[in-house]
Amino acid sequence: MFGIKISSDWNISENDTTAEEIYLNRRKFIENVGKLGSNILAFGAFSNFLNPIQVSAENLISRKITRRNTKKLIDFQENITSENLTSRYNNFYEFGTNKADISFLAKKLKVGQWSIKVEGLVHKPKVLDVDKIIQAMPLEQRVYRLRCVETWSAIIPWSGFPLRELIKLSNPLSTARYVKFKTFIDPNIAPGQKNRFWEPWPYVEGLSMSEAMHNLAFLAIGMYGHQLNPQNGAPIRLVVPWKYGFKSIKSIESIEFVKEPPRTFWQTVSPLDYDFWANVDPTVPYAKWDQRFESPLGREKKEKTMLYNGYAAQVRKLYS
Amino acid sequence: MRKNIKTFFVCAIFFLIPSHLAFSMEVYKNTSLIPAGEFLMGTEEGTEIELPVHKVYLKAFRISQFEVSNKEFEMIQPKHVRSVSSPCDQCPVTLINWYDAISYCKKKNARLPSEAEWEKAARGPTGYRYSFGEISDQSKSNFANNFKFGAKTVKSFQPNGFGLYNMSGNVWEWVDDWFSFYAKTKIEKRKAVAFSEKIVRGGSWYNSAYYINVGMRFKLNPEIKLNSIGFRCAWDIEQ
Repeated sequence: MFGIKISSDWNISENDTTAEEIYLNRRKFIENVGKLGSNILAFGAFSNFLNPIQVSAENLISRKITRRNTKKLIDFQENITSENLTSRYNNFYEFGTNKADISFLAKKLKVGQWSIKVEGLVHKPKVLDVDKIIQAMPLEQRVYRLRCVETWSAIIPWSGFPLRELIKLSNPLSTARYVKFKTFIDPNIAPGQKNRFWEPWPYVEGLSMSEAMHNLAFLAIGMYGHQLNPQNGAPIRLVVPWKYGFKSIKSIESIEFVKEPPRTFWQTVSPLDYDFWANVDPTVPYAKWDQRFESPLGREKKEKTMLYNGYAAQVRKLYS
Repeated sequence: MRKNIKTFFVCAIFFLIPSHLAFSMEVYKNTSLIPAGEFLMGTEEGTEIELPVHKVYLKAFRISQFEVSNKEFEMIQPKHVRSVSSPCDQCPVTLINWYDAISYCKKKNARLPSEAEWEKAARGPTGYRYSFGEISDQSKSNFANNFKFGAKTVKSFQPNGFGLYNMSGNVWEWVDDWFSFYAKTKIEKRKAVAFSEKIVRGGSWYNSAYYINVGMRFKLNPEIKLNSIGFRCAWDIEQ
């Protein structure tokens, strides 16, 4: 069933945080997603898949307008991070190390015909077309905090679906204990992969199966109501809000089910600074940075960092 | 009696061989002669720095069949610290910068191969994309492995048509040249003077097929030491 799902305990309330124009943009985005799948609109199931979204979006907008007061409006405008910032301040080492350059350099990334290899400990390896994945998945919007290990943070409205839905579709064997994600490798379009040739490209990240199956682990295909920008990880990226941002791998090309924890990019580059789990924890200085405070993008005042980036109630059990 | 005759002939042979020839035989042991001639340098599979593909004529030269090993390097630089990724005596020496490499070769009355020499030698007599052939094949070279996998000994896998081992994969190799574009115009030639990076070639055990394509060029500050970069030496042929 396609629709907007707002979980009660972890979600940053849309009444508090999401601007009306974001909803309106999202409508356009969803319509665009619908266009991607127009070739199969003839099937009844798919037309049912599209219509409720638009109705749902309208309902949400009208409910929001009737409920909120002026103060709330100011709150949400302050809380959500401006897209001007999140689309121009990017870590994507494949394209370079200067955050301000990435939005320009990543334009070369061709996201039109994108597929994901599903391999390793699965009943049947397969190659999935991303457009078809988008059509088949229960899309929803989630507003998550993002905490970078470099101590900056943001609040971003993502569109996508729970990772576990793709895992179910992948049909892994019971022996699979970890999920290994890989991004693309193409040094001809990604100057970082050429200029920093000594690094272990492609970028690799991983989660345990229990983490990957957790409701909060999310695969994003859009943000701020439109498809992902290349610099933000188009066409499909991971969002794991209780871990440092580098775990949320961008532009995923391969998902492999494995027995052992995969050796990730950053563990390989700097094993003393990065561990596999990388859960946000203000009490532990991590990877060269003091993690007690964070600097939200666009704000002058630092804020206290929360354990598991504020999602402790939802994810603590994973580690007990 | 027979033993005495044999000893006599062996001594006679050594007596008859001019001393400089004996020296040459020792120095050129485990090297291959790369004949004079043209080859096509560059690749259209890379970026602008590999273009244009162009003809280069080179005089004949000799090049080591193997990457310099830890054991060989440490006979000259005993304080060298081995990388955990290339720890054995016969593993290629790494964690050396360009200056270490050139200094070692000089002590062997050699030099680093030029970038063109390295590429010609790596392509083999047939002018392949990888030193082992046209098609990427992990059974023929040490590449696309996990970072923990590490380097193999310098005599691993089959040599190419010139008898050279591990030109594609195993460890990157320093070459002599400073980086510049394959000069097309006077302006570009002038620009090239400003570059301050040396070239490494050939890829390593953890790099994908793209990086072990012997036409690909990668640049690096010559003072940097990495656990995946080694080298081999080359010699001029006395005319």
